[in-house]
Amino acid sequence: MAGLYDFNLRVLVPYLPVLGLGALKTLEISALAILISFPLGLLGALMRVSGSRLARAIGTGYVEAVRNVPLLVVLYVLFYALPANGIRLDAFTAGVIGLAINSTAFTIEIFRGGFAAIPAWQYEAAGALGLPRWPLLRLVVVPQVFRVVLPSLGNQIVSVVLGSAQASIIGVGELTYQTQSIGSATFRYFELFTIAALFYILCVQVIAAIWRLVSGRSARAPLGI
Amino acid sequence: MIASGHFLNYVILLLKGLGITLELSLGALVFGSLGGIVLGAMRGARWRPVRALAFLYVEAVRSIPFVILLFFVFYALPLALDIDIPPYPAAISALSLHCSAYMGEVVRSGIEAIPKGQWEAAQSLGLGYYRIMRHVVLPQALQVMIPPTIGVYVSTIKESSLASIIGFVELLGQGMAIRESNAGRSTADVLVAVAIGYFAICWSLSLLGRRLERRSAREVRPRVQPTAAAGLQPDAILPAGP
Amino acid sequence: MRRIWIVLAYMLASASMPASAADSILNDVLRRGSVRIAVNTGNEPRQFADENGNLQGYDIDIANELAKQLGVTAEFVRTDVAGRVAMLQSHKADITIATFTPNLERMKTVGFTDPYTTDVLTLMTRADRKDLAALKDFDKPEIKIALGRGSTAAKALAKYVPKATIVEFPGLADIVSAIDAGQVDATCSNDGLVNWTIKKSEGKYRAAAALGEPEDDSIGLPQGDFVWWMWLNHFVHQINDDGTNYTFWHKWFGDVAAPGFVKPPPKGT
Repeated sequence: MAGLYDFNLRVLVPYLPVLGLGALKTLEISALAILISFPLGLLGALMRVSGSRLARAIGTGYVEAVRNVPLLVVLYVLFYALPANGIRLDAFTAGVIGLAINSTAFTIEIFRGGFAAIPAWQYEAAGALGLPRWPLLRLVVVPQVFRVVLPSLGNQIVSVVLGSAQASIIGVGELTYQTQSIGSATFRYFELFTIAALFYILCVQVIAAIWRLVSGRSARAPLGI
Repeated sequence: MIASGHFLNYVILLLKGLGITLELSLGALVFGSLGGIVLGAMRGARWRPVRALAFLYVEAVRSIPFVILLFFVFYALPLALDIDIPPYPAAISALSLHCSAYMGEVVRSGIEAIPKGQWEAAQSLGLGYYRIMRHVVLPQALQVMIPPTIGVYVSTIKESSLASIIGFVELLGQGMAIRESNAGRSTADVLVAVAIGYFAICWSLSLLGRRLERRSAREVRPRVQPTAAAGLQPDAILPAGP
Repeated sequence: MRRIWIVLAYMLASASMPASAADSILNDVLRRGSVRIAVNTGNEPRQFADENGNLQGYDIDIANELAKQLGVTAEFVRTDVAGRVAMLQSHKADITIATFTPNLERMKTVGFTDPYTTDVLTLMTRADRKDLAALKDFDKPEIKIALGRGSTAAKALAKYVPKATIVEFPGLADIVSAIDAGQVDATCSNDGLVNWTIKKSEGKYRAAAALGEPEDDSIGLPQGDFVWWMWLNHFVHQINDDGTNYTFWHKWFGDVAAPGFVKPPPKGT
């Protein structure tokens, strides 16, 4: 056993289909969580900048509560504690909802930062033009906010993909789960985690490249700041 | 519901777990911050391979889920290096690696947020590297770095909960053990208590960060555009691009 | 912060391990005055840590008896299912006593004594699951069986209930949580652990079915050390025959019948 580790990928060939399915599941769970959390994040941010004190309090309370508690604890609550109250979510659903709850809090903060970046004179000018609050938000502010927050949203997508690995702990058969599972059968942990790490790095790089393309394009549009 | 006779026992056990989480996180934050400073300095080095090495490390660690990093240290390294790594050192090393990569990025952005003009101006006044760093760059950079540093610290403390899955009994691990010994009659109670524990640590750290930020804002007026500071996200992960 | 120093000391220590012992391990043990025993924890009532973190259990009693017969102190090295083999291979443990079943695959990398005990893989489910009465009730795709990572039960499950779905969790706490929450239908581990968990739960769980026949458990040792193997094997036969093992068995497993080769103490002593 002493000496150099015998790095052997060949023993893992039979397991490649399982790993591939796991990777697909990682993408699936991440995509669903993002699709849920981004609209909710925008909604939450609107609450945090709204005139209603109650709405602001709810928005702030949600963000602070979720951002200061580990994702794993949220997943455990959804998976282990809710069934006692009559709500049984399967591992996949619990994983998606847990990731979405977590991601919504960060997305609210991202959008709120975007709203804060819009100078106050725009609101005043639009007010002087007689635009009521909602059309003002929809026509003037939100499009600009999107341009401001686009890079941060890209980061958020990345952190959802990375967070999705924690769904393995409640038994979602995504990539991390499969590497663990195959690892305990073959003891080829080193090779397996290398493969998994490379997959996640690839994912992040692809997201980054796509996002640079998207935000580069939108950055060319005139910005009213 | 938890039987009242055991209640105090459980509270003590959870507080013990909280203490272990604090200890684990503190170790990781110390090692991680030191590593982050080294990495940040490497990113500004003149010699290209040094810059590239730091860049690759920071990018790789920030592109891998912490679970994988932890498993790598706990399961793969012992096999590859023929050593044994028990849960505690494994958790603290993985957390330190994680924290150092994110801190490396924070330090780099903090230093880069100081306009080059200041370096040049200070140099033309005859100040050396050390004095420029000490009196010009660092005071401003540190202030810019406070919010993202707190963000990284909070995220590291939260990730420390994953140590429970390699068998290290910290706050979450203690909670799950209590839940088990109580035959599952108190899952929600225990998990809520665990959540409150993490919240208490992370929330106080955030408040402390905000106070530091306000105080240092009074002391030094940085010549840094506020947008540069706002753009520093703890989770900022996308490469800066070519 | 003390633990950080331990970590550093640990890293230094593991860098300076001897490559191999030309002598028998038996001589090393006697010279060192301690025998290093790799054990798993969280396997009640065989090996587990009590509230104070002290190791307890049937296997621990066996290990302490072994150290006593050697005239040295027992030095326990805590590890997991995968770690115990690596520990022997890298000579960081002299033996492992950890519900370790010999098979031809394992014997290609480690050595085993004759068995000192047996265990049988058992399916455990919630007591209120009346629909899960016999082994065949588990052999359906919608039945989820929780296992700890690295558990060897996966092989047996694939043989006896091939249609059931296996879900892996990090540890026993998660598995029990998943059973309580109804997220999985059953778990599978050795009968000792299953019976212990059932007893502790005060009737919340029950043993549903056994997978096959009891399997032997032996003391594991590094390969290729005949002197050491001979001593250990003789020790096993002695405690099996003189009633020592029998006493330990009933101390930890209560009324469960001991394996045939574990003999009661001779009459009149």
